Amino acid sequence: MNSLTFSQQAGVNARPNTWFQHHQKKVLFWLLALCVMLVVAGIASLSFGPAGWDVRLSVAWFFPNAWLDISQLQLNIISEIRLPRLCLGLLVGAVLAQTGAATQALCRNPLADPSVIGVSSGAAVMAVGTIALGPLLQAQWGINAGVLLPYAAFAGALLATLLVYQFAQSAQGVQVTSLILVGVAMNALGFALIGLLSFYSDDTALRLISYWTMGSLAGANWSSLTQAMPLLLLSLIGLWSKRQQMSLLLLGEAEAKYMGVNIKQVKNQIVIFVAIGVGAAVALTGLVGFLGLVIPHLSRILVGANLKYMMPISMLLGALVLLASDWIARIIVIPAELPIGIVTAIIGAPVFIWMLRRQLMPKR
Amino acid sequence: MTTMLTLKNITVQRGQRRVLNNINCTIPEGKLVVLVGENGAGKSTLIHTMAGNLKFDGQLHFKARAINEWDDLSLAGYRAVMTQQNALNFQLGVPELIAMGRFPIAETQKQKQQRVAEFIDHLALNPLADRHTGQLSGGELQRVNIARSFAQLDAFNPRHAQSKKDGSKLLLLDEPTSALDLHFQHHLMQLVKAFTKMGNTAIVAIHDLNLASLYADEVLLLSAGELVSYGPKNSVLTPDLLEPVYRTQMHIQSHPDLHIPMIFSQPKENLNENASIN
Repeated sequence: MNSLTFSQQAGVNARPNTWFQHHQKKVLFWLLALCVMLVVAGIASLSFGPAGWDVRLSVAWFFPNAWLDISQLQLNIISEIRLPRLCLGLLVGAVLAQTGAATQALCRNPLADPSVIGVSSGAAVMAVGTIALGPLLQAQWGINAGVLLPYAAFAGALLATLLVYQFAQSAQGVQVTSLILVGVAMNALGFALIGLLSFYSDDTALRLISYWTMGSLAGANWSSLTQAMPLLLLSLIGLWSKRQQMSLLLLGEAEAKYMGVNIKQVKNQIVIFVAIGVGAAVALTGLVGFLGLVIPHLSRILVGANLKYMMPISMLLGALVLLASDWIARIIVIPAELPIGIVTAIIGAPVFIWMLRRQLMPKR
Repeated sequence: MTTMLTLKNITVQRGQRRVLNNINCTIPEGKLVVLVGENGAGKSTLIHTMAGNLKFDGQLHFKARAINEWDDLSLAGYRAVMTQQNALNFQLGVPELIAMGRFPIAETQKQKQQRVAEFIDHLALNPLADRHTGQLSGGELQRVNIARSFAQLDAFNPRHAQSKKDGSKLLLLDEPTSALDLHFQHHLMQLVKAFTKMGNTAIVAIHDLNLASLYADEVLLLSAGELVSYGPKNSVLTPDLLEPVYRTQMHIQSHPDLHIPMIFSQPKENLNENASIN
């Protein structure tokens, strides 16, 4: 009985742990800091561009008569081009970061990312297929390919996710090497199929396709945004609601099940919400790579791996980095515009290699 | 005495291999059961089967209800499992990892943090409380995971006495002492013992037969997927039963103070013969 009293005593005398308070303060600090940076990036993205370089532009669309020297054309550019583009960047950035974080939890591997493991390619193949066959669809059945696009991309993403997950699975769970290798194969297959489809496309479709595979926010307008918005929001909210279960999944599937997570159901939900998010994002912006890999990684460095804290940070950071990349892409070669996929790849690829080295060759 | 677990004709097949063959036993409440057997005897498989995570043939009842009728969440409130955890790919704070065990429990943040602090105290983890999992040794991570399992079952709650009726819980530990030093081996087993004294059951797989003898109420001896013997430690820890399982000569004496069996193994004789040739 001696041991019994000793252990009960230990509990009563426990001094409150300060770890949680410290950690919450840290998370709060980064949330605020990122919000401030996001506002700055938003103002920059509205104010500066080929059509006008003036901080007042960021608010002028709201007060059309405040400044007489700002022309109606400029105001229209802000409200019809820059503003939807800003909203698109915010949403897609958050979605890409969050789907990346979710994929990493699903595979229990920090190197998994929809664009690396081939999910985005799957979405792109279906999207390109829809574009290439657009004239045919229109002529035969009167279907507008533009409406179909996000859903086709979603179907492609879902199919690719299921394939990758199936092939990379082993008795010990999803292995990093098999995951990356399956991803390489999926990406190769995806680009081959895109090549094949572009071979059969007409000129207009071809231009759309090539612009697509490199990614861009330039296609943003209110109508396409409102079409894809429900899908993007569904993915964001769906994954957000599962963040606690995903955190437990980090410890292993059996462990999460033993702690009360319905593994089968949660895994299916993650796969579907990721596919919806990636599909809609790819349909709107094309292939914007590496964001889903780099952003969750940076967020983990800031606040740790627990998705409860990491996910909001990741969403804000994703939105911030995509806005910043888009802004760079817009102003670096004025009056032309760089595809944003190039910018994110130039930033993301070296980080990916660094992470890969760190995981495959840990320092001892 | 109420029953915690009933196993009837449990057979587990993996591919062509029968990992567990026709296991029958009834495990009561309030006991510390130690699971022993040679490498590959099926100890881990039995633990995962009892935990409800493996397909099996036969009947398995937990608290008089078939194990597959339980849903994951309510089951998690009554049984926790510590697996032979391999390294984590992700880094979490020590208090955070313990707090994850509270997933099945509805409580406020404040209550949760207070309870986590208590489990940190129970497992003497205070010096590690500011570290994250990447900065822990194997034994330290093991202790944090044990704390997480206790946290999940809300063990040692000083605020309410556990009601005897349906509140009894099951703790399954798969080689929890494998990376622990002697001090923490005893520390852990003492905690588990205290936990079972409150009416709960613990099933612990360990290799150290003497540690088993010191703390077990009952011993379950498994060999090549078969249940060799299950009963009070004095009846299972005998040379007749142990020697064929471990293919080692054993000598069993009573502990001078505690009067429980202590097992001394000795090298095989032909080893000495070989030595004399050289």
